[in-house]
Amino acid sequence: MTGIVRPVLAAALLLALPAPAASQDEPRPPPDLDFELLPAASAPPVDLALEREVSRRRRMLTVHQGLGIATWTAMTATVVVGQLDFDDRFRGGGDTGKYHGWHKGLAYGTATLFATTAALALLSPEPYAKKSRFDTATAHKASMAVAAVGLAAQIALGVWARSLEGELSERDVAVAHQVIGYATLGAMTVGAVVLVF
Amino acid sequence: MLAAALAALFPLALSQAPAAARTFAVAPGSTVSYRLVHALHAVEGACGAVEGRARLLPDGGVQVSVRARVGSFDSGNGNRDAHMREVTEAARFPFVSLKAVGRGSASADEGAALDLELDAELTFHGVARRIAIPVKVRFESATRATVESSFPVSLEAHGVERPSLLFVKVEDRIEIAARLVLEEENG
Repeated sequence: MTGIVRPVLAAALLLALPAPAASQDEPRPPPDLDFELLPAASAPPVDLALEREVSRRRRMLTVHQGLGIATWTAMTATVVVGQLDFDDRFRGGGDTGKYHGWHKGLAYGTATLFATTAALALLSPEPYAKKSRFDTATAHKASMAVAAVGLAAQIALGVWARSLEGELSERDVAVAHQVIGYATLGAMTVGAVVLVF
Repeated sequence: MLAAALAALFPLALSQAPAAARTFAVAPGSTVSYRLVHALHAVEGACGAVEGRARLLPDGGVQVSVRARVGSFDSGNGNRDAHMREVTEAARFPFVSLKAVGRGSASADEGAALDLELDAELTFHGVARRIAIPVKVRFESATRATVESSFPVSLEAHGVERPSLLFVKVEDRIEIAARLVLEEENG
């Protein structure tokens, strides 16, 4: 009887004893993941056309961001120089006209940058469908739409104000141009800042 | 004396007796989310379309398999989600999946709570990486449990190009959090 009990006891004690702890330096053996609990998911075919569109979209939107920063900087400069031009002509600056050329050049440069930046976003492909809802991206687009209207109005008002040179109404139109200029810069700033939320 | 020793060992021998494995499936209401940090803000995206199973083996072993569609994560911003799908190549690698094993307890009684560390393989963007995942399991009943876990994942270790905003890339480390409801199949 004791002859049978001894091996049984030894086996039972071996089962009860904890396994020796692995050395800290020893890499863990890979886990045994040879089991399947979920049905296999088939690998989708590679869609090269979609991948090309993704690549094109990324390139266009990267340039869009760079030009967007340049547009905002140019718009800020246009507003600052425009204010100097306004003060020079209507607020006792001596009407030297020294800022006018700079303001006009910056204004057309800003408008060109804005149009190019907008075109890059509007023409970029959309390989992945997007849920349409109000989010920071739509707020960005709405702000930039307001800025686009503002820029168009600015160009019209600026040209109109200049055409009224010497008339009493020139200042009123120039004030409207000034106010819309600040509003346009504000819309552009909101459109940029909203993206970080 | 010998009889007493045998009597003491008998329950131990019984605990080694084979029993059936128990399989739990991920139930509706489960979510997996990510948190990603950019210098200007943090972004969270959640996915409710999670599928998975966990199997409790009679010897206390645990096997886990969970996956979620990369394209179903929602951060509340359509543009950002589209960007995430682009960098993770969601069309080519539609799933983020995790297979893991661990050791816990075969007991699954109401109120029981387990802290496990799973030895896992996370496959994301077609790249498999081995990670250790801490998991808290709480059995609400014998057939239903909630599982909570969070762990960091490196985007670059999985070959994902870090997305950027205003030319500033997001941090490489994202935090994955899972809250899964498990229900025993045929339970």
